[in-house]
Amino acid sequence: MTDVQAAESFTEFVRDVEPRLKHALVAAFGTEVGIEATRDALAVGWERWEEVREKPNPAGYLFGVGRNKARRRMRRRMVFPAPPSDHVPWVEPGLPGALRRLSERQRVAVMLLHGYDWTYAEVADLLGVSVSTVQQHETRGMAKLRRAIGVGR
Amino acid sequence: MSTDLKRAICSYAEYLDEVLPAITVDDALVADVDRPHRLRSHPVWYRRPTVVFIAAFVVALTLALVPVVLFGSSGGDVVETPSPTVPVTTTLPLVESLERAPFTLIRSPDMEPARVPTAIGDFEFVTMRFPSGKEFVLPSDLMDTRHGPVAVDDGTLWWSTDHETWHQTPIGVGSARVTAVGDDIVIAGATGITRFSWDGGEWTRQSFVEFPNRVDHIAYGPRGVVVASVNTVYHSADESGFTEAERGPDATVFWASETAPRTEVERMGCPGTFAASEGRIRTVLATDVGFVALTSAAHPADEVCEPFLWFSPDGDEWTLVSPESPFGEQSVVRSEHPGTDIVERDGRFVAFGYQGNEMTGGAVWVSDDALTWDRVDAGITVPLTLDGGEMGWVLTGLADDQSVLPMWLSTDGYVWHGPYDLPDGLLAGYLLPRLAVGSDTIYAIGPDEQIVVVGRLQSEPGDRS
Repeated sequence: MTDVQAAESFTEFVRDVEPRLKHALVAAFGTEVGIEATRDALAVGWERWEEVREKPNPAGYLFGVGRNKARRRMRRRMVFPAPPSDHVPWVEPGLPGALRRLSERQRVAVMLLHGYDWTYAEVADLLGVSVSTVQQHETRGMAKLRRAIGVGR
Repeated sequence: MSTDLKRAICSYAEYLDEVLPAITVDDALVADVDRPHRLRSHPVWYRRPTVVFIAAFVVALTLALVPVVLFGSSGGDVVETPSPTVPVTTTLPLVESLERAPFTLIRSPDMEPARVPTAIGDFEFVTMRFPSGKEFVLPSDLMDTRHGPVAVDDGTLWWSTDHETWHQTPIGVGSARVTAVGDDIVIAGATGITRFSWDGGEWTRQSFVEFPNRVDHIAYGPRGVVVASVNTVYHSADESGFTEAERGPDATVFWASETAPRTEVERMGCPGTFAASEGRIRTVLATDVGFVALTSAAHPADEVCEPFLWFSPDGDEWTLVSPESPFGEQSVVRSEHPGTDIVERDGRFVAFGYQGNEMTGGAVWVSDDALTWDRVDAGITVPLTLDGGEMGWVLTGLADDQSVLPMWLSTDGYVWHGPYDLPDGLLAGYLLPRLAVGSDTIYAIGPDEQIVVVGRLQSEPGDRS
């Protein structure tokens, strides 16, 4: 593969995978670290493109890369910004804080399943766990959120 | 069904999509991936070292001027307690009189004890949770003592004699790390070190030494004690009176010279240090014949890349051991924080980090004098924490891209066994678990699932059929 072909295929890959990778890493680590982790993961993807493109689940692999990068930044604060009160649609003000108090995998499951309409199988694929494990994280995460912000009862 | 909650999550996800930037191919190509062999690229403008430095300077200047502008040069009515200019042994700081009742951890009813066979014996891990009404605490440091585990949180010593019922003793000053000194413990942190002794029933404060700045590292040995405070080293024969080192480790060797601003740092093979404008003392160690300090360049990712070693027989005069790092080219040594310190046991030191690529180059180094280091093959690609105790050393890290944290064990530092599963809930999440190793026990506090895990060695390998 020539350099030009590699660049073209990587560009197409980024266009396809960037939103999903960003959603997952932001769900896991908050907006600041999540965005940086996405950028770092894609950089690694480009650096090892020949290897990454052959993997059965490149997005899942880069999620792992981004997660490891984010952990290197663990001294940073996890940020989930609160929307302005007049934002449309209205957003429950207690939700960002409640999300921060979930475990990493609970937060990823809840946000991807209900925020971004992923399937259980897609989340399981990304996290490298079984569908039933994702269901457990989602159930526990939703229960914690319900208790924290008192909705959906 | 929690339709309202799902709708709320969906609305928040929409909001995040509005505010989050799209990451383009160009962004990926200039990402500041701090590891050797990274793509040579030009950082985006706001990440350029010069811009970062100027921004930091402007912020610092602004913060310094705000009180002057608001209150005039007299500083208003704020009365500050003067800090000493040299370390002084002083009266014990006042502590709050608030009664803090002990609390007992609750065994998780949904988690059966987990039995983990290892090369040094079988462990039984019991998972516990904080009782309702008691907020979970992730301590800044955790260790085992002859009288049970102790942990320090900001200003509080937590201790237990049975691993389940925990007591809280105010320290009087901020705290960050705890060190065992004989049968005592010494707690270091904000502006001082506090010694505690076991009086047969509880830990009681014995003495306090106040320093001009925060205490970062402390090492006790046969030649006395040294303290690294920011980039100043103090030493004492018996902890009663500290003296600033006549010639301490010179962190400025990492500074780029004005005439060749990049040459000096790039020769170290640490691309991330291209922005170095200062060096830092990363840790101090005590050996039988003196003290060893690690220094490295400071840079935005704060990696301890190719550290230099300094030796002093008495803590007063320090000399550079070698102009080359004994850890090898492109080596990053985790050595700064509890849980990632270099760990000594019976005169042997174990360090960890990576060499070359941080995703694949996990490294463990062993030394019997803290000056010459052997790299050993521990079979771990991304080590994350290292702790040690009477039983040996325990490393945790990542295997592939799994979240669950496995551990590796060694009784001599050279031969490592693992990976072995740790109980569910001990994840390598946003924060890493705190671990401590005792004579037959591994303690872990997992921040992600907010659990405390106690693993006890049930049998020697020879006892197993």
